[in-house]
Amino acid sequence: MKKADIVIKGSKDGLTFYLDSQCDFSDLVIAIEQKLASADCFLVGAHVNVDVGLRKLTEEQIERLRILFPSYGLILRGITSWSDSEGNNDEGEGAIMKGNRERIYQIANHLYESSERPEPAGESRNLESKESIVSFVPAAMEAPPSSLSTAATDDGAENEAPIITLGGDEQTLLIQRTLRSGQTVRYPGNVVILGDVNPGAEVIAGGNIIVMGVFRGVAHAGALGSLDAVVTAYRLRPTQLRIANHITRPPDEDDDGPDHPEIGRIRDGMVTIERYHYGSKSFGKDA
Amino acid sequence: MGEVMVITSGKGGVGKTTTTANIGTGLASLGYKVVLVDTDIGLRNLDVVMGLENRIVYDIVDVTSGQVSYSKALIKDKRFPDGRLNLLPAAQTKDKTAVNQAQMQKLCEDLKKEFDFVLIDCPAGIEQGFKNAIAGAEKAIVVTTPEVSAIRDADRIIGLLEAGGLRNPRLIINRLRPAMVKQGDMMSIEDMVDILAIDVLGVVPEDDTIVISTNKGEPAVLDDNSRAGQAYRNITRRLTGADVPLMNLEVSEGLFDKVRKIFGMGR
Repeated sequence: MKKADIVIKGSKDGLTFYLDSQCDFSDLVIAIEQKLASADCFLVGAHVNVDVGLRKLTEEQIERLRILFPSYGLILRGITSWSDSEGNNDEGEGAIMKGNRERIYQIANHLYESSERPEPAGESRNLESKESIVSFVPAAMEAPPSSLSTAATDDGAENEAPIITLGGDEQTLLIQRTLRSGQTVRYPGNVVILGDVNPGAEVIAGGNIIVMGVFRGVAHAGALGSLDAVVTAYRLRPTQLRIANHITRPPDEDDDGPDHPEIGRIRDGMVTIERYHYGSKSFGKDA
Repeated sequence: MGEVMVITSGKGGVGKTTTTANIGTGLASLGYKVVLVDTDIGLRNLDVVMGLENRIVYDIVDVTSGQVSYSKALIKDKRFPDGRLNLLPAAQTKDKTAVNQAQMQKLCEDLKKEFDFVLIDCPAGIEQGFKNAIAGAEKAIVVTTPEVSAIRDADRIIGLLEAGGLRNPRLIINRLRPAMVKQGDMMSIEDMVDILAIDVLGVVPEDDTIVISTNKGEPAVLDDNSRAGQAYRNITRRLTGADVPLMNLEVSEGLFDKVRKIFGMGR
């Protein structure tokens, strides 16, 4: 059996995964999972295009990819196949038909917007699949099947419009409950939590983190490298505070901290925590 | 080449983590290079008891999966500036299946090349977490409290340890209340040794200072006024080969003599 070969190339439009067209699809999935897992959270939020070469994907395989990337926090933008549209998988001919890029599937950003829907009764409904990972995955998976199948067959051009109207990257995940030890939220955009974040819980966001409660866990804002990201909390008592590539922890003195909202951000190359002033320029990353 | 020791109990809440923290800190204060490994993935506590929670960046899963070297994940204890005492924390957002036995064996092999003592804090239970914890161990310490349920579980664990190739585990009896034993309301050391039939490494009396030290994240073994701390200091010295009698637990002469006799037989 030939080893599943994956080449990842980055450009300003995001990452492109070039997948081996010879090996088993299941091997590809395993190889992608390994790549994504080994990258930890560094790829969270990256936009991904998949080029499957001459391979003809079945509906199930498309669906598998569609779920696979978001489960590691990546945003799947499209899948490109070079196989000819009739489905006669003649490789030689397919290779010649260079310009015939058939966009067989386009996923739109607006699927992620659906995670802003209020969670029913504030309880987590994703415990079945990934117990501790609370993220946008379930929302995407819960999107009505009808819209999925149309998205899968559409040309993609129709799906481009909602992206623009919904404001591109400005995505925010709203969580209306307390995060407990062992629970993680990973999201490429901003994260707003109406509740507490307890010690042992992690919030990793590509953008800002705003907690309308006591933050006692580990925060990582700007996890994709944004130095402008901020962490704001009603009471900021983090175990650890990370912004972009900076990691800080509170001093060892047992100090309960002040009783007012605070904001943590990078100033002069250092993570600083100060009182949150209403009306001042303390909202961090410009909207 | 160091020693790899697993601290286990079967039952939860008998003081495995407290014991690991105190023995490890005790050994470090005697000058040994020590690493504490928390294998309770998903329910980690050792970092909290050691007061090192806010220093965690990488954890045991990052190491066993090969993402970072163990030296990068180790947290040096702030109380020993020369870096004698180290902690390898467990992951909190994963579960026990994130590590397998072969990976643990490899990790222990690597760690014992650098450290004099590798102490493994085992999770409660007898499932995957327990199997992982004992996979790389060469010696075992069983912690129990003077309760029938804890003794029953300890007995089961001793059997499983033997099946796993860890012969002659040693026993630490934790939270003993000598006054209650004297009145006959609590199992005595003798009763427990009768059932378990293994060597007693030490007896730690019930002590309020443990609660305080756990909350503060400072192991009691460093507190000269703590009786439990004294018991752990004695255990530490016994581990390094010193012959230390069991401490006087302020009970009747008769029992104390029996205790001494048991210990004498045990050595």
